[in-house]
Amino acid sequence: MASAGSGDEKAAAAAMITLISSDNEKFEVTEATATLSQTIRHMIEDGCTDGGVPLPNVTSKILARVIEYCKKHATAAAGEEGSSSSFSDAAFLEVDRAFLEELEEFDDAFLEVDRATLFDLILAANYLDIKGLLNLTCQKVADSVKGKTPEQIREMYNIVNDLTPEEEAEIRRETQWAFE
Amino acid sequence: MPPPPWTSRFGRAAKEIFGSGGATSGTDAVAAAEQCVPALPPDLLSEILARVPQDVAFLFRCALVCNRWRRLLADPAFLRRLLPESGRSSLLGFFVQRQRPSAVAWRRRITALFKNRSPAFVPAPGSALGPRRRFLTSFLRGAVARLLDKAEPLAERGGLVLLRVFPRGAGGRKMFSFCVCSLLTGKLDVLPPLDAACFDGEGVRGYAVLPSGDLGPVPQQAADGYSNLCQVLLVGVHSGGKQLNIRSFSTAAAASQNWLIGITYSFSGDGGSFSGPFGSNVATVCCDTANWLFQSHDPTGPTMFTVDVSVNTGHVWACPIILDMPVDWSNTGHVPLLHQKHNSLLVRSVQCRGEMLLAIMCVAENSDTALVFLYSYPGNAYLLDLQSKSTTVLAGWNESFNYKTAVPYEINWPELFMSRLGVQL
Repeated sequence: MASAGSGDEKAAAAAMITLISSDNEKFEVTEATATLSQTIRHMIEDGCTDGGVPLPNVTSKILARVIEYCKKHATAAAGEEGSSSSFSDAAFLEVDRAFLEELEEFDDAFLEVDRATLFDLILAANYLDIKGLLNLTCQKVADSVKGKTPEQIREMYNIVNDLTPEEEAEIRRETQWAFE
Repeated sequence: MPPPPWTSRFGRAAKEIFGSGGATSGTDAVAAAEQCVPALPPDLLSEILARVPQDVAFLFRCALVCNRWRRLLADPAFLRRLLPESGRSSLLGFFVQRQRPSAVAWRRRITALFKNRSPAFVPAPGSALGPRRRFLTSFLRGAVARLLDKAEPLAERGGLVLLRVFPRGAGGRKMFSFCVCSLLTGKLDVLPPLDAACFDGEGVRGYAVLPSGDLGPVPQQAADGYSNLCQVLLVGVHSGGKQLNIRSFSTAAAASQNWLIGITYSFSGDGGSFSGPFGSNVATVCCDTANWLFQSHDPTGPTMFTVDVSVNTGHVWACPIILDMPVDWSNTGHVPLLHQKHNSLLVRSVQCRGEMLLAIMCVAENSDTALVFLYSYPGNAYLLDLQSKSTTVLAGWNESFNYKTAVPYEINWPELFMSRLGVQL
């Protein structure tokens, strides 16, 4: 069963998929990279990837970054599978640990973008259904909100306060009632 | 097409290109980009907020950001996702009466400490409401302090607290007066007085307050979107301990405004009598019935049984049960307790590790915690974890509060968010 799985993996790694951004730029990626996106995985399963996969919701700038993420994490996924067969080997575990650290560093560096890009990445991750990327990017925004006052949150994310003063006072009263 | 630089396999290279590359383009450019940052992607707001750390007070305050955030934080589906099953309800603390010692000096000291004579709220360790003590009145709206003067907390369920109150000029001790406070809406409803004679002077033994969620589909919601409807059940032992007497009141039956006489349950044997309820005098609710644990004493010996009252029909029946513990447990350190799990009713033997259990004051069922006394330190109240059987002392509250009256307050967070933030503003 395990050997059959890794055989498929190798076959998949060989196949290439062309992704086409909204501004018509073409990106060629391995199937293993592309299938980190559930959306593309389903397209491949349905056999409708010949002639490229058009992604009208994703610009080339963002798609490039998404592919960067997927490549790194596809390698990580392959690495994990390789090591699982010899998990008792201390050397392999050491390699694994180092690789995970590297992956974490990569993720941290990957998130060093301006907010507009971060939001575009969230939208792309959602559209392409890439769980890891969606989690990573949303967590970044969630962490930035943590411990901030509503005013600070509004300021940080350009949110227009559409609550009337009465509504705001009402919620403030509720908050006081419950938590102060 | 030449391979673009981002195809670099390693993070460091990517960082050089995108991290510092972004910075070298000038802080002005970044600032400009920040200026025209679009609002958070609206469809993905739930994805983001679901990842904010589980701090209910912070999440609640987030409703102040804008209407979209407020609506999301009052959305039942989102709240189910936000708060995992285990975190949905938590034990906040206990409502408890002040001590009313007879010694004048002690009484004066307590009076000086607490200006208010309504039940106090003592937070459980690690309560989401913080460690500060407050009064029941702080959870309610309007001037209710006078009505709640010396009130005795009896039961809590689903954010509703049943209390016995002592309004002036209401027939004194010959009449029972009760009120139901909703901790979710801050409303207080006074129930019509009940002639104490119906309990034969022996008083009420068992209580239940059943919010509308326990009463099947609610015909109509209150104007504020949250229903205050509930049913109150009282159980008394009558006729020298030979008959159970049940009274019920439904706030839905606004037309009648009377207590209904439930079917009384009579002891069939000769010369026998009831005692109880055991474990807790607050009903354990299971499959639309309110249940209490009683003991009967007949010539053949004591037997345990449950008294079950159907929430929908008011029908009462008794179910004998067989315990795998001695019926006379008074010296064993075990106390039998009714318990609801996966829609079945169980009797479990409660004990604590390395200590003799003296009595159970009250049980917080969702958090599997009980407030208990121990033989070794009868002056202190302890929190007993019913799973691990370990105890934590409730520090310093034994002098000021009559813990025998304690009623736990377990909050259901989704309900609080829905009722407090979901109102049509």
